[in-house]
Amino acid sequence: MVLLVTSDNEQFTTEKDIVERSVLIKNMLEDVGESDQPIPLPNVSSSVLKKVLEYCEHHRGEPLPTADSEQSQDETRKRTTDISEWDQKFITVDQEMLFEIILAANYLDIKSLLDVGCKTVANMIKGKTPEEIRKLFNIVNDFTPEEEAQIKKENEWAEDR
Amino acid sequence: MVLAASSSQHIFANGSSISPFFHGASILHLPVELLAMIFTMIQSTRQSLSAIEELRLPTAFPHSAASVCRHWRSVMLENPRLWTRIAVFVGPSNPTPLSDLCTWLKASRDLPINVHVMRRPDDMQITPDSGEYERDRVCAVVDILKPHVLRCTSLSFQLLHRSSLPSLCDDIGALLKVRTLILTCQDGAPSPLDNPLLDEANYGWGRRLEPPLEFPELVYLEIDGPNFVKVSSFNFNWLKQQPRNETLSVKLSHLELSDAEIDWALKVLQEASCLFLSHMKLEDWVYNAQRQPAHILLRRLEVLYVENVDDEFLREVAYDAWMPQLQELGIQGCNARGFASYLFLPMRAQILRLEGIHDSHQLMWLFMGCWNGEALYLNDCLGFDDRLLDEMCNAITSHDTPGAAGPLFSLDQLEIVSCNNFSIASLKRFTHTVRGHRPFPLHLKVVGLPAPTKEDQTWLIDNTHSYIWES
Repeated sequence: MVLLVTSDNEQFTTEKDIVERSVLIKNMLEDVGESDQPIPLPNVSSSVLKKVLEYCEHHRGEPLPTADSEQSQDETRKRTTDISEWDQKFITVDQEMLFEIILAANYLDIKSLLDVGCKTVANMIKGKTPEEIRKLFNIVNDFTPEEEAQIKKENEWAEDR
Repeated sequence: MVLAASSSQHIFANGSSISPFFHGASILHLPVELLAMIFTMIQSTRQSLSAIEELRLPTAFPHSAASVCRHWRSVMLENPRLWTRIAVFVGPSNPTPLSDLCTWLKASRDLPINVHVMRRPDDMQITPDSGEYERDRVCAVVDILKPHVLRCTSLSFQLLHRSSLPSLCDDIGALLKVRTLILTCQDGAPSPLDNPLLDEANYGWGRRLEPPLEFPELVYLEIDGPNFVKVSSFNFNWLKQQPRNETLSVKLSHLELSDAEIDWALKVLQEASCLFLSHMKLEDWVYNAQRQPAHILLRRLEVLYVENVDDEFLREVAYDAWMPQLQELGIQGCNARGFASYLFLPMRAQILRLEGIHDSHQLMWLFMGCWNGEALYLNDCLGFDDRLLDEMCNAITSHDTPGAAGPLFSLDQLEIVSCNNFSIASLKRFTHTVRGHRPFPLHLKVVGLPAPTKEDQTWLIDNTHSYIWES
């Protein structure tokens, strides 16, 4: 069993083969060897780690990506933003949790979870106008008046030719 | 590899400053690498759904996302893969800024690119000065594109006016990587504004261009008549690049030729597996008693479509060309009888698609005279009427000799779309005749007509192999 400690000081005890889906934790366990020492995860809160462990448990036993398979997986990842039914249900969370899961997956180096999170965001962006995207993610349009003017000037030049 | 977990500086729409790394996370907290990965995912899936129509939408990626905020734009400009598909709008309503085009081409670095120059769907009105505007805009775009054309794997100009089309020879040149090349316009009528480089006086018969006009990777070509003739005048074999392991589809439109030039044009097109001829005319036809029929072998041709081609042109194609591999023939808005009556060799196409043919005599000539394929698709053909159905029944019964392959002997599939000039009774009679005199009952599909009565439906279900009726 492995003991994990979150940023808000909650402790999680979990099985090694579940938690080893995280390359970061797997490497740490290999470095420290057999030990009862807790593994601190200062960048992951308890609510997020709970979700991450739920994901790892569901996908327990599935083959982990190897260095050789990384390139072909990258290609597959690029070709599709399809998400399996279970993953889709799992990632149906509010935006704050979604991005926290993505950040945690990136930190813990869980590629498949990172993919699910990023694909979800990709699907949210697809087919939307800039204004709809800004509204969805609460982003300010910060293009400077000079940039807008440059575009306008370019159009005028073309019209005058 | 763990992607770098660096945070970026952003301002939220609500004016608050950036939040701590893992608390209250939003898209603004994603490190640049993750944001780039998300953009790459969107780009890749979009390409798998690729359609030029999609690029015309205001939601088209990457342009939509690059217009969200400066940070997203800078992240995207650092990722050349996102800029390999470039849409340039050249109509007066909200045209693509030329500075944007320069930025995107630079952002794509040295990667292969797909460039689409076109009009927005809501910007297709022809006005007194729309031709001149579009031409000037296209000229400016071509000037910017020129240094990048050798990177193009797909290049399309889908314009409103013929006068805006660039000259493939003079304005663009050889495209060594291009697989898809489209040079088309909606209004193909000649105009005083037409590109003088495409005038007959500028053809290059017998001359060579340096570098030679070559398109070795081409698999899909849509081209207007003047460009086709001009390129062919410099390099007669420009579509004959070897080795060709892939099929070549060609759509040629808006071309006027003399009968002697048809021979020449068909020879240039000999490499095509799929040929679509649209808006073609024959001028100055001269009768020549010495000419040989079917002397041009279109050895690869499997699919031929003709649309709005005049009688003489169609007749010449039918008379001159031998198409031993032809599997599918489509005729739209043309004189089908002209085609059928001048076919020197029997037509082997198993699939026949007819659209907009309103004369039942033309259809009859085709069905009874030269076609004996398996699948017949009729769309908006008022000529498909009760009289024709009666004739088709007669033809089947009069050739009812065991082992003989009479007219319509092989007909297996009949699809009728928006042809409202026949009665259910005649269709039933025909279906019954096929069932009684042919090895298999019909696969029947009818679309766009009022549903038959329940009794008729039951009868049709019982007497066909499969039956679909969509009102």
